[in-house]
Amino acid sequence: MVETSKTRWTMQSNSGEPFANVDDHSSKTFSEFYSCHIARVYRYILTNVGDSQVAQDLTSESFLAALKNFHRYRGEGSPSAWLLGIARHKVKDYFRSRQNPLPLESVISIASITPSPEELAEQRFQIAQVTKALRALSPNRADALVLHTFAGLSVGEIGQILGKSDGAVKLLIYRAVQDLKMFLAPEKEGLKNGQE
Amino acid sequence: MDKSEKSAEDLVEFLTALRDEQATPHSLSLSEEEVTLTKELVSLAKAVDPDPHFVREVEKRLLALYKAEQRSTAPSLSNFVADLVLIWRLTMLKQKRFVYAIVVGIALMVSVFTVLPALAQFTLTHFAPREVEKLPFAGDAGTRSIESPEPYSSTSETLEERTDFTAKSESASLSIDPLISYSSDIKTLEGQAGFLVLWPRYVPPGCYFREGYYLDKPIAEIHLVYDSDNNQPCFDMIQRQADRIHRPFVGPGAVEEMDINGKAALYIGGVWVVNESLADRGTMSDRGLMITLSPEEKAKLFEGATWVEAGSQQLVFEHSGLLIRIQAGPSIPKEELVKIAESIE
Repeated sequence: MVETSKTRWTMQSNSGEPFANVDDHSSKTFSEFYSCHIARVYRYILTNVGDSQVAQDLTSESFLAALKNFHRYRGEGSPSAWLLGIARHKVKDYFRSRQNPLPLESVISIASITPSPEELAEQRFQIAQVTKALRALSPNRADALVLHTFAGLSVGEIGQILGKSDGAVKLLIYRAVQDLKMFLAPEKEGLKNGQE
Repeated sequence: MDKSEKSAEDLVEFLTALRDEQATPHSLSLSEEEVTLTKELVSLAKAVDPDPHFVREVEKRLLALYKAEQRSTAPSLSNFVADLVLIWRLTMLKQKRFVYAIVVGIALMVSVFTVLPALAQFTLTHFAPREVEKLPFAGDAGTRSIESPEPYSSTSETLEERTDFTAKSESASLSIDPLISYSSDIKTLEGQAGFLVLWPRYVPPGCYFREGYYLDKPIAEIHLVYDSDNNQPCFDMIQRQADRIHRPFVGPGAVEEMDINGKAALYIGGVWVVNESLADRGTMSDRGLMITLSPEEKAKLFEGATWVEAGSQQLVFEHSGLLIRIQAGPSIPKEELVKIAESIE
């Protein structure tokens, strides 16, 4: 016999507070869900694709897919992990549909960050560096690091998406940082030399 | 815990604390380089925000879509009409053994009059039964929600012209005749419905296809009627395009999730039984056969309803863009319904 408990359909936020009942379908609830996750999804996607326009498109598509499939979310696991799992698929589909990823030299315009031109230039460079380096990492390591740092997921939530244990996720993040350290070191040296 | 695991543990702890703006732990086994890189990553992550204009625009679009979806999933007049037509058909056929189906119709039409939180929702995209202890009926002060069938409003004849629904506190009347068309030629019905019927390759021994009929828009449903050799009802297969959500009320624990050829299906065992049937509600008028219910009659029907597990059964699933319901009395074993469903091509 099926589970009939209403709690089955009650989403839990990261803080443990129920934030949505699927059956209520209230606009307010969806707004809250959206506000809580838009930046996280966008950061995750931008870090992966390195282009703000593409990131915006994929972010919209992710939420659209989430909205259309809201009724399928069964309250099993974190809603953040569920949503970021959708975003992850969108990123994969994007790269699958392209023969070559976007050249990183293309403009990476990050809207609405610090207004200082120097800071803006610096951050563009860093995002480009990180995105480029992430592409050289193994996909699971890159995913684990970005989901944790940029999308704000917990180790357990990342484990849900990647199908890994907590310990395995921590190792993936650790190794991603080691790899990143290696990839970014020459870039940083180059930047320093260029500035000098 | 080996060295790598310890380092990983420390790094994630440090990273999490930075990200969540909490105090960073002391005595971690991290190099200065790792600490610096971690800080840079977190700082970069915090600095990246989507364009506020983009955020607002997407939210606006999503909310519009969300509201549209809500409208499409709300209880609709079409379900009510479909159920009354089913009642009428069974009445006209004088198949008293089909009383279970009549009361199923009553249960389904309740969804028109009440908008209540669902107690359960299941796996099908376009069929979401709601388990309730008692059939909800809002009464005169309740929240009635009858919607214009927007997708069909451009047709020459609107639902309002075909039916004569009045306020909840008044009688509800429905003219049936124009809505239903029988044909032994299924191609004719398919032409009317705008989709091709799916046929089962298996039917229980002794059952045969007797006839089909089409319930016109906004119901847009084809019913395939199977009888047994001795002209007793065997089962009905009801097909409609999976383009809207049907949300009937069912008794507690009535729904069982199943698997038909690897796809989700729902088995509903039971039926709402009421004190009286609608068998004598049909009257002839200048608009053809009419079914009329007074508010008192409606209330009486709903209040006296009890869920009887052995009364009826339905197997519901989606296949090739259609929502399919196989409905049968208790004489057909559940396994047979599954075999019918699995054989659909």
